[in-house]
Amino acid sequence: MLQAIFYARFHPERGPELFSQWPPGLALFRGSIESSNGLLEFSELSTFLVPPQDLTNRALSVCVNGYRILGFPISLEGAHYPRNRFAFDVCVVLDESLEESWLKSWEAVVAKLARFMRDLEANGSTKGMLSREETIRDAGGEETGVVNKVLKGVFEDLAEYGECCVRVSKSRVLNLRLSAPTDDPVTTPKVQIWDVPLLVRSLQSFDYATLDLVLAQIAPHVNGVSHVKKIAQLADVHLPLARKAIRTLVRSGHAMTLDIFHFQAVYQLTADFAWFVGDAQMIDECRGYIAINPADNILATSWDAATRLRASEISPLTRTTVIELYSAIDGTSPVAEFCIAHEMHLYNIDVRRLFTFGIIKGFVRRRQKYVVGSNTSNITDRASNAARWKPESDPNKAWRNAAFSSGWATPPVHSPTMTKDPLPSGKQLRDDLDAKLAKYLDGQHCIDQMCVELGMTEKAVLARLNSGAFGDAAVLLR
Amino acid sequence: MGYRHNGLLAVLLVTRSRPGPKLVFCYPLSSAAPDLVSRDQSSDYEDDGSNSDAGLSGQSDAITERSAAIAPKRGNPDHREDDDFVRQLGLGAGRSNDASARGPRHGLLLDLNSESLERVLAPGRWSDGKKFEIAVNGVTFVGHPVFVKNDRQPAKGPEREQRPRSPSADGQRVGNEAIGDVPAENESMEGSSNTPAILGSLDSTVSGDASLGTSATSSSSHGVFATERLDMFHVVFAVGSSGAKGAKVNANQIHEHVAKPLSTALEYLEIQDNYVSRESKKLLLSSQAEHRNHSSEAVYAKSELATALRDSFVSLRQNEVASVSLDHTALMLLIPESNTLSMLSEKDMFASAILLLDDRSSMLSSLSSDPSSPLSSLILASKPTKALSKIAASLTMSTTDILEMVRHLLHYRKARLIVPLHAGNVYTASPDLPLHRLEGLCVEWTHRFASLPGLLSLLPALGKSYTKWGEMAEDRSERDIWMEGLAWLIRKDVLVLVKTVGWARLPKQEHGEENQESEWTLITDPAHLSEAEEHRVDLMIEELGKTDVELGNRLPEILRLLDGEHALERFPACLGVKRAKFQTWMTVLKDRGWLRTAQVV
Repeated sequence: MLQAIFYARFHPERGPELFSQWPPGLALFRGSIESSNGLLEFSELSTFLVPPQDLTNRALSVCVNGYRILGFPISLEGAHYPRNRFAFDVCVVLDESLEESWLKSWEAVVAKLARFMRDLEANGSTKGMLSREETIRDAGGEETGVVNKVLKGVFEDLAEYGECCVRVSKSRVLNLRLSAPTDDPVTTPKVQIWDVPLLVRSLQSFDYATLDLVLAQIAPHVNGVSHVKKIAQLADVHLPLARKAIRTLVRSGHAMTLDIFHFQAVYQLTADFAWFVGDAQMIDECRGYIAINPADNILATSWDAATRLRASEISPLTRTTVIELYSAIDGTSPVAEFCIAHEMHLYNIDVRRLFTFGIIKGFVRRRQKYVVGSNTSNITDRASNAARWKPESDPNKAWRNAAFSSGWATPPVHSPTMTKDPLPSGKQLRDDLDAKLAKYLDGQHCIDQMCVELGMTEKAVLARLNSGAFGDAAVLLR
Repeated sequence: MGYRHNGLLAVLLVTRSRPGPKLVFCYPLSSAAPDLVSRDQSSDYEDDGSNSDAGLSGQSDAITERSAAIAPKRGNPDHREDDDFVRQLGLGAGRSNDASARGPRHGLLLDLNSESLERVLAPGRWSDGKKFEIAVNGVTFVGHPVFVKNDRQPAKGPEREQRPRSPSADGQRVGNEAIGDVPAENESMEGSSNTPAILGSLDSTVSGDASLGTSATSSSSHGVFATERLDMFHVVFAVGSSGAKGAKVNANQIHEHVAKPLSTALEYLEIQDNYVSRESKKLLLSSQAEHRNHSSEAVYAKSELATALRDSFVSLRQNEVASVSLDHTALMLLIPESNTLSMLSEKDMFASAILLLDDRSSMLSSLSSDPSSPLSSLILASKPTKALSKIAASLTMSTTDILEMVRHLLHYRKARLIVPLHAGNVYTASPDLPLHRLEGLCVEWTHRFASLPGLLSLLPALGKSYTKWGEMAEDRSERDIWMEGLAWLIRKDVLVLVKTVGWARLPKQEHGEENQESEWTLITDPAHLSEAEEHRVDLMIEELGKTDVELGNRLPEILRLLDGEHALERFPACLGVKRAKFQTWMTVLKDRGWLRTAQVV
């Protein structure tokens, strides 16, 4: 994978040139080790290795002759440099055929390496270390070997162990790690406030010490049941911060997001179900995940003794039972109906986990409901009356702002100050609610979103939508 | 097909002549990108710092994400999205936009300085005829540079009159325009610092006036024209990292299927008729008009190449076939989809129907061959309700020929292979139902199928329960229009077939085998039956044979298809039996408990 690593620089008189490479004996560039052969031609690539100034300080890679050269050219300005500029680039040479997922890992490594080299030159006790090294070489003196040391350490250890630790000075240590790529690299996952995060890798307890405060605070509430908004409320964390923290978890592969589970939700099997059925190991994993002690089954609480007995006779949780239960998901009935239809077989099964497992593995998908309203234009007019009533300020918002600015943690004891208008009537409140709902009726907002953002249940939302205030509101199941 | 962009961000044309490289064309122009990036980032609080851990500049993510949210499309209901895309990236037709009015050769493109881009996108001769790929900050630029062999005689073209002109007169005319048009700040830029005007006319250069290649004659890239012979041209495609899942293309695909064939075609036209040289000059000239009029339409009105590049980009970005005309020569470009075809056996293909994705008559008229050609016959005979096996029989064509033509249609995205539509099948709202286009689809549906219920009545009804499509029609006489409507809805990704898949279910286990706790066991891999399973299947055949000999005989064949992947809806065509008979067989198996089915999408 890693063929070589080299340090190219911009010489004030000679222009771009190769300064150092590792392995030193490799004919990397034509003429680089007094060999007429070479993998690459430096002069052809110099524009990319030491690029125009405005393309510096960012990742830049080029493919040539079957190799991919990953660099992160650095340009430092300073009056003490010849031409007021010091430019260099530490590049790794990889096979062009490298998988894209690995490429991401290498890009991160190269970026960190570049930042380290920049800091060596620009900051702290090592300030000017690279330019001195170059000057000594140019003057024909004996080099400190810092560039070679870095190149050697990075090349040999990264190739061998996938990580490296190179100490350059007492305070400057380069630590690099080539993370194994994930199958489906997540770039910037979207996390909505109605998403339900589920940890798929444990956050070990010692990690909490190094987690940021928000993550540490929300982590106990990430349980695969609560949605982001609820987690933020439970953890007493500002909602955008909670979203950001959860996104970090998703991005790092520690969590994934699910839909809200409730008994009105509708699920559908996907074509991947065949894969699940054919994988006995997966089915066993499922059995282990969904099985519960019948005493904990909320569905069984209302059963009489005879039903309980009958159920216990039916149900050792076999592979066939699992498959048959999943096969019975019909794509149109809500979970509640599914539970009623298969009450006996669900005796020792956690229904939520049954569906969640399918979603995690990708052979079950949630069908979201979207609403298209035919008559939303006059709703907002009516709402303008309702808008007369509102708190002068949102007490929760004020509370949070104060908490985040001063650190005090006690909510205000006084009730929100109202305007002098009389309290709204039931009709005014309904109009206000209708105005809010009307914004969601363009067919692009799922009911989960409405429920979470408006703090309502699905049943209440649908009841309001079917009240006739919105004309014939069409509920689409997608 | 629902709109899913593939991460393509822009198309650029860079040329090199004696004074140096020039960025001649870019679509879309993104000179306004930095403002948009900062706006995007500040618009969502949770995004703050989202890229800080990447170690790279986060701007590329913002660019690609921004473009990911936009859907450029010309000539269809998505046109509005195209406008959004163009607006966001800073290019607009007929708009007064300072950023776009400055033209592609100024400021920032894809958040990169256009002058620097010119330099890095005009590599040396080493790159001639090879794949060129660089990535800057997460944006990959892929092309296939072509170095023009300049030892040939200049060809006669419509643009180049042979009558001698006065270079000074011509130069004066253009020069005056240039003086008036080039922004003052550009005059200090490299290559144009000493020359406010063009010294020679286009024709004078082509007809042999020497260019000294000094700064005085340098075209640079700042509103002054090329007066030199073209040494190199390079069509570059910029690809971001945030294409839609499953639709994202990589640099190799872009090179292999787009950049390389396009460059090869342009090279041919350049050799034949200096096509690229002429078009580059037109582009440079019209960029001046663009500058004056604050409109980019002038570019497209004057340059066929600009239009071709723009249209290719718009189509390719949506993974559609780009059909463009270059010097009156038609060229089709497309990025092949990761192939579902290879997953289908010939038998499955024959059990499928083809759903034409274009209007039948326009497809026929676009064919260059005569109307009685096999391909025309296939298009005429095809019906989404008719399996290919039946079509082959009716046309008396060999299976090889039919499959070859079907592959051709699929490759050019003129058709899609589907399970034959049938009134007895169940259809439901597609997981990919394009909600953002729903309003337009409803209007189009009403316009096309006025006698059928509105889409907003139909979709909720289909969501309430799985209903056979035929049951939606109140009267059998309406069946045809309902089937036509179904084909349209499937073509538009509104509905999908709810597939019934199945497994054979074997009776109770015998002692000594695994899964003793099961009353039933499923055959999950019918292609590789164990000895015990084979034995039990033999018993099933024997038992079935007592009541239905034909079913008994065909059971092994049916079992092989009961693997959870093949849709039962395709079985009748695979087995060559009538659907009604097949349904009876399935009922027999179900009644005996030998069949477990599931409905999947």
